[in-house]
Amino acid sequence: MKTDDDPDSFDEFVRSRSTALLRSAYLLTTDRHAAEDLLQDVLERLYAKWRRARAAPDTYARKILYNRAVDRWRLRGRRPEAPLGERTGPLAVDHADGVAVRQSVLAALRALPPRQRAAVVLRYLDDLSEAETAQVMGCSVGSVKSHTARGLARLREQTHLGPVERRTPPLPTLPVTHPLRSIR
Amino acid sequence: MTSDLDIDPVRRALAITADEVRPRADLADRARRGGRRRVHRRRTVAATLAVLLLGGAAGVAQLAGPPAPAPPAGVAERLLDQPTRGDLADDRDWLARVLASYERTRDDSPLGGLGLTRRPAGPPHVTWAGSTSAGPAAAVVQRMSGDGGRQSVFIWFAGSDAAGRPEPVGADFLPASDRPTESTRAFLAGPDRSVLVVLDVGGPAQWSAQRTYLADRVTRTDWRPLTFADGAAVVQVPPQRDRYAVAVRDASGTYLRIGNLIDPRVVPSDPGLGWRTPPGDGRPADRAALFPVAPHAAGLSLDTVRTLVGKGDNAGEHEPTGAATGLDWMAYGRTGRGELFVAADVRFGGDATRTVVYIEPLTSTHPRFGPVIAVYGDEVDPTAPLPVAVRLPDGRGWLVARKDARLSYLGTDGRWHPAGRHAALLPPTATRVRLDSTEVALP
Repeated sequence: MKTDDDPDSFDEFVRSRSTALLRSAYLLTTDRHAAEDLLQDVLERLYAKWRRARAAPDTYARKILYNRAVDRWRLRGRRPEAPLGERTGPLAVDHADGVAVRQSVLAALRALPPRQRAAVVLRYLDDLSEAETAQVMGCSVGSVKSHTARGLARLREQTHLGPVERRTPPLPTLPVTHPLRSIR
Repeated sequence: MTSDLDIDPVRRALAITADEVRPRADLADRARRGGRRRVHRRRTVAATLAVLLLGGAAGVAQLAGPPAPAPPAGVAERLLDQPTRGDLADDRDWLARVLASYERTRDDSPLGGLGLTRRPAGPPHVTWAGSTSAGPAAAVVQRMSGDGGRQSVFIWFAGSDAAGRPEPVGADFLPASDRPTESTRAFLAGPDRSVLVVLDVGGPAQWSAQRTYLADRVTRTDWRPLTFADGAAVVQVPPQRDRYAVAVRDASGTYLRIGNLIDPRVVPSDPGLGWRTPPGDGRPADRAALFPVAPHAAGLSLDTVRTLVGKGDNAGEHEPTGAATGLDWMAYGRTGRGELFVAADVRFGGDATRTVVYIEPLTSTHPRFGPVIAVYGDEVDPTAPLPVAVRLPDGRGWLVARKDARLSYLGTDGRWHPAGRHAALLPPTATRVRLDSTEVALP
């Protein structure tokens, strides 16, 4: 019986791409465990379609990742992943650190509408072009531009990430203490 | 219009945020198992539907239905279910003070700030309380309810302050049922964070004090077994105040998270080479210096270079703290064989800055995954005349760099040949480099 199983190439794909995909999933879900669940779901689906997908596995994986994230948002009735509370604004400076940067970014991402969040993640974490982002999101390049611009503006507003008006000191080694203001 | 420079802080903030997650070592196995189940289920459903279509539609509804929320299991269940262990398990006063501190500070943890500790689904339980050379310590676990009925288990760690009072040192969530191994069940205690406590959930585990840099990878060669007694292994480790080097792994090789490996009060700072390009020329922020290496760098896009950096970072062993690559500078181009390469500064968890060169072999057919040749240089010395000199394998030559320097090299013909500015890929036969007027022998 012919199967979809091809352990070598699938394993190679998972080995080389799982970190990047998990990072994307993390920013799409803003929850570490949900991201791990999402990635496993994506890879299971990818494996089941591996015969077709292995010609362009990264594109397949990203499309599944995005679609499953959208399904998840729909299932949750477009509610935020977690209460935002006071964390949507800039954090207290005396507790500013690497954790604070992450929390600030995660909180800001949560505040974005799903498609804006996806556009920002695909463009600026995954470094996809506008055309590639449009392909993954199943929309026009114009929509990508619009979602990205709005998402970026809101993200900056929430995290005070720019536009940059003064010198930015070099980032210290990761993961470390990252004063929030150091990446403005 | 948004320029690349304008969104650099966003890129970096997203990268910093995403950097804290790492996939489990057995992800491919689990995905393959799950994928096979899906294929099997799909075929079973197709066969069942075919039978039902032939025999009537009765009973179709029974095929559907949402899965029940999965309760946490594995490590979390063991820590929740077992009685308090450790030599202080019967010290009622210590346990009471630990629980009081937990109740007082639970929501102060970074995870608490995300609202994940607001809905307890059970009482807190001190799963371990014991003595260490840095004073008494403890670990508390508690079920929490999340959105959609999802359950998780919060784990909170305490050391003790100078007065012997419980002091929160870290917290995390234990993963859900199908992840039996990877979890935070270790923490650092003591004023200089030199006591490592690893909770016993069955099965052997090992710890390592430091990374080892080989020419082609970053690895660990000092793994030593943990000896569990009365619920935990407690070992003295090098202080983790200004660097995050210690690691713990289980028998499968999966790194276990250390609940407070990252100390927000400490910045491990190695200034590196300080080659970032300052603001100017209409660019509002400083950024990593970029050195296109002649003669083949002209047609390369920055996206291509960044993709190779990501590919190289993801290809190695998965250190729990990950690598910070290309923060200060990147040099890129093609080798004499036409292979794309990028050289950059690289730092792991407070270790000294080094140089890494990633080379994409010509046989690599995909831009985002596939083999990458990694070459690690020695620790960089910013005061050295030639701080970056890395010999590339198999006769690919020397990658040398010094910001702002005009470079030339001594060829086998006994003549000096110009090699551009900032960075260059020299022939393997080069023996000496001239940086402006300073002459340096290649190592």
